[in-house]
Amino acid sequence: MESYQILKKNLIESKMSWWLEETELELKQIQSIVSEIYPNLCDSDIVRTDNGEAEWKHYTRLSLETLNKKGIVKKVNPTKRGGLWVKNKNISINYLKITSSFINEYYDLPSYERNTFNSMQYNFFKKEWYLSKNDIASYINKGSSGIDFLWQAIIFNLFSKIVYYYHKKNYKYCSDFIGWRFYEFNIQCIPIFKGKFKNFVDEYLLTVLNKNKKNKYITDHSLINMNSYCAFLFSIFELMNKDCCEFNIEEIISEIKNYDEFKDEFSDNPKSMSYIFKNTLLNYK
Amino acid sequence: MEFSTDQLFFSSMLKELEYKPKNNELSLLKELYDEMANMAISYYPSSGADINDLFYANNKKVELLGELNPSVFIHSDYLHTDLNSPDNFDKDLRLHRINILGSVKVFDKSKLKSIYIYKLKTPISDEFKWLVLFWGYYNEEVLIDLINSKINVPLIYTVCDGITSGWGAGYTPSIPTIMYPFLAVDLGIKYIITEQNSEHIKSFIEQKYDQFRTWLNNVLLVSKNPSIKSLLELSNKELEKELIIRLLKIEEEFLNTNGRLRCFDYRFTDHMVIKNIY
Repeated sequence: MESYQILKKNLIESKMSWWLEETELELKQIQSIVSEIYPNLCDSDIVRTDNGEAEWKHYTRLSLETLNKKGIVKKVNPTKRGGLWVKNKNISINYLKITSSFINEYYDLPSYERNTFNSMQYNFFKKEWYLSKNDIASYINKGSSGIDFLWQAIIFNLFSKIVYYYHKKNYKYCSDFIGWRFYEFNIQCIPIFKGKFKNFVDEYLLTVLNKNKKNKYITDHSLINMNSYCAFLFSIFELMNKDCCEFNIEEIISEIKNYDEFKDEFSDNPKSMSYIFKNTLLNYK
Repeated sequence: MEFSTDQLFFSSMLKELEYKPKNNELSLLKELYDEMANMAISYYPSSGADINDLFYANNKKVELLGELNPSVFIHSDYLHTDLNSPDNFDKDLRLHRINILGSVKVFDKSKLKSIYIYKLKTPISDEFKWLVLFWGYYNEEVLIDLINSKINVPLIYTVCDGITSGWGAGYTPSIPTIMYPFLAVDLGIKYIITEQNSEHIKSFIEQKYDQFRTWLNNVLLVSKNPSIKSLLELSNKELEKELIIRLLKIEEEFLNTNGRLRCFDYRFTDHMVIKNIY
């Protein structure tokens, strides 16, 4: 299969998940994003014999036509050649939710157990996970699914921290529920990441990103999916509300916004990913 | 009247352990005595170190309990002892973020038998809870003292095994808990939370019907209910039939349906039911 044919297959299968719903994009903008995401599949030296157009651009347009037929995208003005395209509502968001495979992968992250002391001087059990730079790199090499997993993992960790610190009456219920619904073994506590959210996203992840040629793709993928990542956090609480124990989502937002512990979880630098995540979260509807 | 430990339903056990209250223990035991007189009690036979009932045996998680919301949780387990490290269970409680507000711990010299009394604050409620553990004691010993003291136990929380003479737990086949409804009159049982649902009973009937008489005899070790005794006069076939009728007519509802968690036990969550005893 030629590279531009693989490109078309990828674009159709992924439904261009990076594209936010109801967002209008010029064909040229779409082609530009596609070339950033799939640089290896966008070889401009391979051109059509009839009009000299790069095959990957032609196949990108063909992909849009196919997605149009499937009702996933549409032309803003169908009578005009080229022009604006829009992603139809309710299709573009890359819905992330808790699944057995995610939980099993999360609980199996490299971790260690330790006893520690809380402010009440009570000895309690903690399981902390960590990922080496090599581990992170191997997730990134998996492409979008690997990047999404890393985000999901740190967000699930955030969920666990929120419940542990501010909703302790629900902590056992949540960990029992997750163990029952999604994990095959008995678990007593949800493993957490040792550091802060910002440490993982802005420092740990970024260090690996900077050494990775796919940096731009990963950053773009993360930014494009930021809404999905926020939705993932809320989806966990919504699931708990439905099937386990009560949470007030507004209260949780206010905790993230106002509590000192959570102020420290996110960076103050507006350009940082953790800041963008927090900001998206606070404005999420 | 001044309070003495003789007023507690387990006073004979305390005497056997030659217990003499120290410091503030008497006031804590009096508090327990008062609480038992006024508040609902739940009993968990063959509990091991499990404390899931402290979190799930309440009317917020199990709405079917109606107004019943136990404050006193009694546990017993013959095999479970705290022989070498008496603080292990305290750590277990703290691991679950339960504050120990007061405790009395009584051992025999060999530490094969022990009674722990805890006043607790669990993370799920602002109200105090009481946990009374009888370790190294047969369930019958606790049942007899409860029945003799005419203490009502409206809720039985029992998983895996839990009635009367026998060990289970891998040493012998588990002694099923399905016979607890026959103690309903003696203990004033209204609800039983268990994994041993009617499907379980049917399978017991098919596989172990010959043991019904033994189990009923075990019930008679503690029960004062004359109707139980009359059951033993039936022939094997008649007894089997009568027990099946009585046990299967008890209404039960599965607790964890449609993906919603109401009561957790890592071994049996999918099978947990609440039985409504009339």
